[in-house]
Amino acid sequence: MKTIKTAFPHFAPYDRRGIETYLERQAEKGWMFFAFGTVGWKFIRIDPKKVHFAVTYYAEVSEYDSEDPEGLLSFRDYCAKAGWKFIDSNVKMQIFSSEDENPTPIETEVLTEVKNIHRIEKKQVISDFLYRSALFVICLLIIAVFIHKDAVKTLSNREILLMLLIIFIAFLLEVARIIEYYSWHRRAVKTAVEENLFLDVKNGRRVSGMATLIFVMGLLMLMTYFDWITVLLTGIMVVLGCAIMVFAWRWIKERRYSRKENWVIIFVVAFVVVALLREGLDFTLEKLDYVPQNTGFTGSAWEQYLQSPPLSLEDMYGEESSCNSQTMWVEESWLVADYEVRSYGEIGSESVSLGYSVIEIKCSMLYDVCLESELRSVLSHGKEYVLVDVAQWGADSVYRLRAGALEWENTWLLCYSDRLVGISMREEPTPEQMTLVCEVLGK
Amino acid sequence: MRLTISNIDIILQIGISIFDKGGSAMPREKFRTLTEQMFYILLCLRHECCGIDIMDKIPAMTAGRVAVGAGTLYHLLDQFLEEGMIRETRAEGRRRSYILTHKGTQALQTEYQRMQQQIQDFQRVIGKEDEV
Repeated sequence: MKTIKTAFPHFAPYDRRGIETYLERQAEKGWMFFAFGTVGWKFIRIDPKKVHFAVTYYAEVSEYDSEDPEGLLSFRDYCAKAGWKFIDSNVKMQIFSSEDENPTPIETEVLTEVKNIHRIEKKQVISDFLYRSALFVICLLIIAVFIHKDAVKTLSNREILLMLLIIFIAFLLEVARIIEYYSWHRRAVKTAVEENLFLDVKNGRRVSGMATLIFVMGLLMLMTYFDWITVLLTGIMVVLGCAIMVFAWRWIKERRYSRKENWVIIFVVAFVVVALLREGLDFTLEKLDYVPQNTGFTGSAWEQYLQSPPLSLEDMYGEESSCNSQTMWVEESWLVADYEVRSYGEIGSESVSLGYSVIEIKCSMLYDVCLESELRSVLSHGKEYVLVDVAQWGADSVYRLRAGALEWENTWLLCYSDRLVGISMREEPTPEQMTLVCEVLGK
Repeated sequence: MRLTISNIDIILQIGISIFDKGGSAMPREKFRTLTEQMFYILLCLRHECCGIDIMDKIPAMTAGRVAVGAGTLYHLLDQFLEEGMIRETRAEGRRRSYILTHKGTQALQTEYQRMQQQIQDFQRVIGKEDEV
């Protein structure tokens, strides 16, 4: 029979009565809490019995302390004198147990207890909120810069958008958490003053549990966008990274550095570990020479190849061609889809080529942003798109690429109602080819 | 501005003060009136006493009527120290002893007079009702 189990309960950190009730019920079922594990809460098998638990909080301790401070040890001495046995702590939360029938509670003055919880919790809740807000704002700024540089590439990248969505949801949950805590605190103070009772926390588990669920779902969704080798290697790297951090943490604690020194060391170690693992992942994928089906590595990202492009050399030239190479990239999100095709071949003895891109804009508000981005993209090469009047393309407006005053190129940007089509050929297209492009790519 | 740890603390404190406006305003001005437990803790400290021993002294003093929790006692001693109502006299390892200061004695006296006034008001009101 199993003698040790690990549980993953969700409680708001200030829900001391909820935690006490949960631990007492576990003891009645024959499971005694004995430690906070690296992951989860640890319970050991006992004969079912009635055990009183007390959850209390000590403010002047930090996760970066190498050892328990003198004040905390003194606090535990006080509790031990009152018959409470110390079990374990999770930084500021201290858990005690007593098998006496009617032990004097550790906290007998509710207002003092609520004040103490507030000293700890306000700093935690507000710092989490500020960090999440800063992260969200930084991500927004980064994406804004990316959109300014290349709107189509950014808006069609579903991984970036999904990550932004996850960070936004995490930010909203932090807002919910801070509102929930302050709402509870105000009512708890009122209840403590008027009735000398500790106010139970009603929905703490719900917000905490929802946050974890959304985070896990977001991760799973993100994983579905990658091939299985990348997911497997990423999983291995994450586990390795966590193991390294746990060992580093234990090593640092043994050295007994100060709280500030520990904070700096952990921050630096985490930064280095993440950077090394990221490089390790790319290095391993390259060394394995692994190319997932229908993908190509462009030097910074994997892009997907598809076998049958909508418009081929044969379609454009109306003749059989020996196609030397054909590649197609697709990047698609809920906002924008970007298809690019490059075909090179020969018809008879003549070399022909065809390159086109279709930017499908699913959200009409983004049309002008994408168009501006495409028009701007050629400026750094000393070229510009010029508005021309060529009705055969069947487009709402047509731009042609020009390098210098009179050097027109056979590169066009066609604006249709919900898409932009870029097309590039070696020679000037015929009216029939323009009509074909409109029919196949423009709708 | 370099983002040192102390600068991060300052930013955090500013954030906390913005959010916490009115959040820590307690209905009772700190130690203006004493709760029963505060009263008996201060009473125990008229003479030098080890903090941890107060837990036994109070039930003995009150025939078991009043008990102070270990955590409450610890936090209140901290707060009394901060307010200057008690001072530390000795430290033997982790065992620390305290005694009332002048400010603490005054707080005790003020509370005693308040309770006296309450008793007199009670006797006066109840006395009148009995007469009627």
